Amino acid sequence: MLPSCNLPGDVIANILTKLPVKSLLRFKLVCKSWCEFITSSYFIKLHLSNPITTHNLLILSHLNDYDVSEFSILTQNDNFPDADNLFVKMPPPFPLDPDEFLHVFDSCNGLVCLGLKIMPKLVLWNPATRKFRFVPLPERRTFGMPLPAMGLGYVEDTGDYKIVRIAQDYKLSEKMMAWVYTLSSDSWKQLDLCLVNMLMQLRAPVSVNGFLHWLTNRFVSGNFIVAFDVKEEVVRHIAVPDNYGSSFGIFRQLVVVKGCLSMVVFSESNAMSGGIEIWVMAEYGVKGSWSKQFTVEQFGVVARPLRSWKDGEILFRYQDEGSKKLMSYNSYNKRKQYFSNFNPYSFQVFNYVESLESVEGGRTREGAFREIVA
Amino acid sequence: MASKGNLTLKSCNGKEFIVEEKVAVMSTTIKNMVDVDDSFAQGVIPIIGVDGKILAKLIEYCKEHAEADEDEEVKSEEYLKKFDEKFVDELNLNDLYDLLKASNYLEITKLLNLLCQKVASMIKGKKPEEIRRIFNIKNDFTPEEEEEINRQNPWAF
Repeated sequence: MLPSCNLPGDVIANILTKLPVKSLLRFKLVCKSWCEFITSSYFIKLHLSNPITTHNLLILSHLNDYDVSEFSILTQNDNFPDADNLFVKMPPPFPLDPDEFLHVFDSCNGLVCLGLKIMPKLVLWNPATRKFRFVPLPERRTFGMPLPAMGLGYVEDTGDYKIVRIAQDYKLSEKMMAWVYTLSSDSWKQLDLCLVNMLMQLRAPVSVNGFLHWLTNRFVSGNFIVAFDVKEEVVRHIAVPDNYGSSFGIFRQLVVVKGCLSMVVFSESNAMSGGIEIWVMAEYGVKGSWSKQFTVEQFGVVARPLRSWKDGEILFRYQDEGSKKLMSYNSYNKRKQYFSNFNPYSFQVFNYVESLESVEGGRTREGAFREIVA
Repeated sequence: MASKGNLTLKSCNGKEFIVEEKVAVMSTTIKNMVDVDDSFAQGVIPIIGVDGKILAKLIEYCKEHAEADEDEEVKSEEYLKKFDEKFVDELNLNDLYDLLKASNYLEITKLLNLLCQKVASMIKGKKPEEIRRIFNIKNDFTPEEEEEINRQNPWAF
């Protein structure tokens, strides 16, 4: 039994920032000032900015071709890197029809943007608090194909979240259009952006410096990176490195390495003999600062880069006896980590942090902090 | 009287510790005192409300974490992590609370965060009633209000 103590308010506040969301939701019941503090936007941001010692991934996996998809969170602790991998199943935001097709578009600060194809619905979900909201679908219909590129971004200054959707206009098939949904206003607006012929790869964007980044489809569009400024709602182009391999069958994936926008390049035909390159843009937006930082010699399996996590480890997916497998590769010490107890038919993986962020977009109760530290 | 580059810290029960300045200024509070008033650097710095036992612990921690001089070998992150782990594991609870208060008052941020993390891991699975007892908090909710909060996240309880 823990003895009681008389700790100052700011120490208690510090302790609270280090607690998991589940404990915090329970501790709202301690007293009124704790409840107000824990639910204040001041605390929610403080909790989010707490230095991270655990790394999480949100995984949407399918057990076979027809099965309902299943969410899980993979957690790894810096202090115990070799401990058993922890996959914790996560119930979906609400009961789903077994035939429903789920797609995760993006995640940001613990919020997940997902789409349900049959209903059809767009959902903003916080798996940690188990809260969700339906996001209205943008008014203007677009062609079914190609699917829109979607991203979820955060604006530091306002504490607001935005969903950006870039798709082909249904009338003018060559023109790309952009729409932005803002959580605080719960509404979409169409942006007046020049996006002609900017067909993008349909993977989730990569977030660096307040911009969301997609690679263009280089055979249809020019070969560059589309960067969407979440705050200003404008688009800029960022050059890819000049002299990475350019043969057919080359595969590229944007990642983040030590905070820098980076690109993993590999050629399918050379995959068995290695030849995976990691290019890093040391100075954001400066073309000349691209350099090849790592070459991965041998993997032994055909592995596709998916995302980065842990400040620059790259996650790869590979095929093994009918199931897809996940591997994490550290470019610095060349260490590979396999997740042997994870064998889905297919899966999607996203960076994830546990947070108290609200899907309601409300931001009040700043005063609660004063109360608890007073 | 401490020699140049050293400071003398005096606990509330009169124990004096001579420590290198770079160790002492791990505490932002002490750093501010020394920066503002030169006489502190010459004389004795009283550490109010911290007894000798706790002050010795604080100094032990700060010695390990003080920035290495240029000619010294920099301690590896792994080494410091191991040290931190052992440091908090060996504390009894009363010392843990006293160290928390002292590192808060002296603004030794790294240690404060380490100790807060320790307390967080001790209390994360507790029930609200136990939390109230540990932190001496009075329940000011009506039964109706309690039920309302319970209803918001029943799975968390």
